[in-house]
Amino acid sequence: MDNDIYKKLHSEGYLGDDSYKQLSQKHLTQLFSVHWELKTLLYLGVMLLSGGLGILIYKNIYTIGHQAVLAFIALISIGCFIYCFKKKLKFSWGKVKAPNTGFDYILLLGSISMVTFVGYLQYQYQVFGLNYGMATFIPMLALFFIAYYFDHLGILSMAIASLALWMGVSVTPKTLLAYGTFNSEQIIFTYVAFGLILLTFSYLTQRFNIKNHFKFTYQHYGVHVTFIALLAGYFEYYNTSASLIWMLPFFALATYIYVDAYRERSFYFILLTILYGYFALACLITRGLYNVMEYDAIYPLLLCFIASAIGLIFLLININKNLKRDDHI
Amino acid sequence: MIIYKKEWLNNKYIIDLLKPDYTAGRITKEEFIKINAAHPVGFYMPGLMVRVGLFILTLIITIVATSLLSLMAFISVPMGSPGWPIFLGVICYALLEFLTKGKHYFHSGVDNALLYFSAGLFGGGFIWVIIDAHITTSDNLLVAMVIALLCIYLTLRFSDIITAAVACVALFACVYFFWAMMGKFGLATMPFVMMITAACTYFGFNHLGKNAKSLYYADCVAIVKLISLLILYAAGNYFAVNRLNNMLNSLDDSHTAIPFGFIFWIWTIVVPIVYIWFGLKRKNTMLLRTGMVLVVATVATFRVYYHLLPIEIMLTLAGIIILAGAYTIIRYLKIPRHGFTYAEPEEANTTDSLNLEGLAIGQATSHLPPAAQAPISRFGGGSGGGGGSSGDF
Repeated sequence: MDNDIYKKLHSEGYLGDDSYKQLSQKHLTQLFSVHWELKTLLYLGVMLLSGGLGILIYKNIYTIGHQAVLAFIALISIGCFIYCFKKKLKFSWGKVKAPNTGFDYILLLGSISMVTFVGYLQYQYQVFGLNYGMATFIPMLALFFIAYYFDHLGILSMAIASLALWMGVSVTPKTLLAYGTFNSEQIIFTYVAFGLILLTFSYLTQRFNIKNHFKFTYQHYGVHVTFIALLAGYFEYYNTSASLIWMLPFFALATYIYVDAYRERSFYFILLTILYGYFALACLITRGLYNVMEYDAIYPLLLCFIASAIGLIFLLININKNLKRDDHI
Repeated sequence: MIIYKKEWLNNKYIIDLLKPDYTAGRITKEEFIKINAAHPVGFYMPGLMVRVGLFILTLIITIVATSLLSLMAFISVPMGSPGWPIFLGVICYALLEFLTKGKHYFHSGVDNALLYFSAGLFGGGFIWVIIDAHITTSDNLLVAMVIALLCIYLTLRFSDIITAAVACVALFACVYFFWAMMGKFGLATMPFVMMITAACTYFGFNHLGKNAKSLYYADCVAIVKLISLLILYAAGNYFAVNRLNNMLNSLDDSHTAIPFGFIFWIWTIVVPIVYIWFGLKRKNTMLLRTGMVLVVATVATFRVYYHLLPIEIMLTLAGIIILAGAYTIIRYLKIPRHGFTYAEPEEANTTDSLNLEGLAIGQATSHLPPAAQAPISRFGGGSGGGGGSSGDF
């Protein structure tokens, strides 16, 4: 079927003789790639092996002893890092490619075992005592360093998660860990701060051109965390009029992200701001109408939802037309 | 039958076919631009992110709008007629037809949402009718048939893979319920009937897929083939047959023996291997990947009945074997052998923005009178060396 199309295009003069010859022999010369299948197998193998070893150690911990396990984990971690230091390409502030397929996985294994090692040490021997802040701060610094030094996006995500952990832990260390309950007011403020830090990082990343491709990760986490934290703040103070103050930074941020995404032609962030903004606006409209009309508000409310959503659809279509480019995230 | 303009569908197929050839450097940029210009595709097909956004927003609108209408209609009268969802479905469907026909939406999110929503409303309404009719003997069969007919119609009209998948599953359900009506004999032969049906479906659609007429439904044919491969395996899987047998004879799950059990064990073990074998032989990605997934299913099935090794030993051993095997194959395929390679597939490159917009601009400017010669060469130079660019891609 495909060959008929090639033949037709050739006879209509759209394809030159050389191209046609190449195309008609494509199925003879084309190789069948088993790249993703083999990669999946590799990944599966690592998962099975680590899972199996984990259970094995867990079941035999009293015969093996904690020190032996710790030494083993440390050995894996050190081995991985030695390999990575030997194999890595030259450091640069731009994007650095991995030297081979296995490199990223080995670096990931080394980082995970390092974090496990520190966690194990703290859990079993309380090396940092009750100073949980330190226990999370040190791995976080190490992870950020590894992410930048070896240029690994996955480890950057791990580092961001441990930054969140560290901030959460250092604000309310005892209550969070000991009772599992936390003072939500404090947590909300912390996470607003966390989100803003990430957004600042994303801005600085681009402004000073430090590992420019990290920007997306920072912005991705930053946008979600900040928007959700601000909305959480709004609902936390819902019964007071102070809640409306939370909406100011929300819409200011939404405008900023929207303008930035428009300039960057990133449809992902445009869509995010539109959807988060729509949700916030819907909350405000609901509240306003309910205050004025009580339960009769349902009809104008539903009409409002429909009208605004239709408006947003036209907005999206319009933005798409204006940007007119293959969208990327 | 299909709602979309056939000429554009043909053109879209040609462009999609040649895109990888262009990125792989088998055709030159000029040829690609020329073909692109000669085969216009007028559909509204936004990128993935826009599609997701449009889908979510349309879904919100339809849900709110239907609840508003329902609220207004039933403020005085109590709810209670299957005609209502069908009526709403008709409205949705009319809107869908208008947008696809008038505005040329092509799987753009808006039409997807309307399609699934109206299909849901129609299906719900018809099921309601059937339940109201209180037929007790062939309730399920009737429901499956109605859903199948509905989804077949929608698939033929809109060439959508999700309706195609639902239609396929509903048809298999029809066969199942129909054969179950045969009583004891039907239940005893059920696995074999399902196997035969699935195999026939697979080969039938495989044949159909090679026909030029099915070009508009290529994705739908693929999904139907995938589902029939899975059902073909599941129909003979020991675990599935065992549990179904227990359920139909109202036994509890401690019964692990089934008549002719060895046939099903052979089937459980052999089918994934056959899939992988043919996947490699025919260089068919779908067979290969399905086979790989089904190997996992087979191992899981095996472990339900036989505990040869403790779980941690098995995991560790399997991990070592898989790692060693994958590593060996990767080393072996460093140089392509027997038509296989470890290099990334070339289609992956097309996801990097292949800037058709830029190409179109280049196309438009190349028709300018000779006075504009200088700027043209600058255009060409900007995107990789004009005529000599074929090697770059």
